[in-house]
Amino acid sequence: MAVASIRNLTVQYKSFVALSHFSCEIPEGCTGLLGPNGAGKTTLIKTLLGFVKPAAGGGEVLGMDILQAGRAIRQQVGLMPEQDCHIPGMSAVEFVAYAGELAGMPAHIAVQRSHEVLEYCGLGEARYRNVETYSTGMKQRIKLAQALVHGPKLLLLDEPTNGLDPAGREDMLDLIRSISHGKGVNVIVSSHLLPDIERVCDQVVVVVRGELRKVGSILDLKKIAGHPVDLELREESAAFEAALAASDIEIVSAQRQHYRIKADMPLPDIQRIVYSTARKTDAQVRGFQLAERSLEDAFMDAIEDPSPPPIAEPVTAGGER
Amino acid sequence: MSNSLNPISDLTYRGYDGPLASPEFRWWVIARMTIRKASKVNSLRWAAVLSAWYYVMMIAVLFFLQAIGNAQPAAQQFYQQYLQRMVWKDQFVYGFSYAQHLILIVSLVLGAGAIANDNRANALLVYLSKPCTRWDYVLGKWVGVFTPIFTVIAVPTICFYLYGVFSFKDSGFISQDPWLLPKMMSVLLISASLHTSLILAVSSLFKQGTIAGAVYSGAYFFTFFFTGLLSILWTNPHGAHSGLMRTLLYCSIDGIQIGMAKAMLVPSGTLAFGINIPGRNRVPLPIPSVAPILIVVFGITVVCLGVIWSRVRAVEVVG
Repeated sequence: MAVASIRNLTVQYKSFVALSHFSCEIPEGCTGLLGPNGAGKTTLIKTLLGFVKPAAGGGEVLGMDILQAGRAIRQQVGLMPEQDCHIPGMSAVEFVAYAGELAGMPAHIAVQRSHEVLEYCGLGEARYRNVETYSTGMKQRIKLAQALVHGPKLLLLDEPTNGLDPAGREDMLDLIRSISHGKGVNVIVSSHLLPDIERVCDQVVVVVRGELRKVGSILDLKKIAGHPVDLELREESAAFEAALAASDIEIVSAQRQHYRIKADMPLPDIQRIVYSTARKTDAQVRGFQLAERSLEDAFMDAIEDPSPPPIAEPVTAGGER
Repeated sequence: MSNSLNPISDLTYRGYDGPLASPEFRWWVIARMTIRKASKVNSLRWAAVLSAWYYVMMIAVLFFLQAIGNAQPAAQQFYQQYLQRMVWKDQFVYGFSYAQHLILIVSLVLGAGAIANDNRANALLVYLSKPCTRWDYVLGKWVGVFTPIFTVIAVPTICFYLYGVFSFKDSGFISQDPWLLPKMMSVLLISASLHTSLILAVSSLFKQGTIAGAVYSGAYFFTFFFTGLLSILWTNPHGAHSGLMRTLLYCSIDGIQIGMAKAMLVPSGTLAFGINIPGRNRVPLPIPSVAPILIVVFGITVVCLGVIWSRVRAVEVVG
């Protein structure tokens, strides 16, 4: 089941079109929402939460209509905003319990749950401190705790690692990874930090200038057309290069002992030819793996790709692997 | 012992599948929290107690005169004359008027930071990302500030009224104005709602509760001194009495409320504590008409609510 289905969504601020004919299905799991500044990521989140009325189109979040059920959606969704936010004059326990009450939890259960969630988010020992005295890292954690307290089925994280030092960032990513895998919580992470997305997400949605540009699993996005293979020898070998060139395998590039090869045949066949050639030329194979580009390259390609997004039918992020 | 065997040590995330109330009436959660936070402020308690000072003094005077009267026949006659002269509704107007500065303090403590501090801490992001609407937020804050203010001004009034009913029924306490309590409650409700709307409107314009409080206090005292000066000029037998002065006499935050109380209760103009000063030569302040002053109060309240509404924007909840 998709956690969010968006159909032909168009959102306008006066004459400015923030989202244009946006269609997408976000499956269960952890999805990254990628895009440059002003791409429409925030508008998409606002629309999913029912804050912005679309000019056209519609969609559902957790099976609820975004046009009709904004409140019901927000009861089942947790939002961790990008900016610092808290209720002033409260300790962490009071704040998170209050967030639970606002979501509809009975007061006594909200307090109990608040303790649990704060412990989980690593704020157990600071739970009675006023939130205003917290460090940046702790404030990020408390934002996550208030978003989690009512047990949301979908968690929206807007730039969750903003302002964190490397250790804090690692901890936060570990937390997100832990929540989004095996805990029954679906997560949408909006970020421009590709390593963060790559670390915690299984699939991505790339938005550029209000349009869906790419959607799919990270593994699929990183694949290179033609499925080339990266090969590493112990040392550079002219004989190996010559023997390989004589076969049906094309050497796309060679940098000392590192080669990128390509062939129009199944991977096991390429592997068999490479190893037999190496044996014949006394070369030693140290590495053999399907070549892939970085997520950054895939993202840049998506941004620069002028072709319209594949939106004739709703597209499923994650798709096939 | 391993973590898996001891649920207390289980620090992994666990989902929540318990009950969640329907999203309606979320404003009450906000109101309740606002009241709960207010109840913890010590200065509020002191201001609340001190705001009843006139009624407490009045009870002390009545009790003292009654005690002296019972002991000495000459004093008894003075006491009876004092009671005959007494216009009870005037005492309520004085009690209400003299509490205004302390109600200001109560309003500042309760309301100055109610929205301003939320603005500073981006608390709206928290409120509106939950199943709360702008309406829930504004109504919750309003009720959360209004309820303590009304309680602070209503409790002493009701206590004094009950004291009067049980002790001075034969001295015209009820017969002078049988509708005194409903009228007084109306005055207090309108006054509390005006204070609440004003302080929340000012609070919504700023990101620091202290600045919002300073602005509200400044506006209060600036207009207070202005109308105070006009009152001095008016009550002087040799002073000027123009139509413009008459219009501006109640043009202050406390003045408009005192004017409203006078318009609704129509006091007879006796002095505070029922004191009689023979030969006193002062021009009494005119009592404003009910309809215009209520229209002004209603207008101010509506404008303030409009300001609050315009400052709370759900669309800014993300980004």
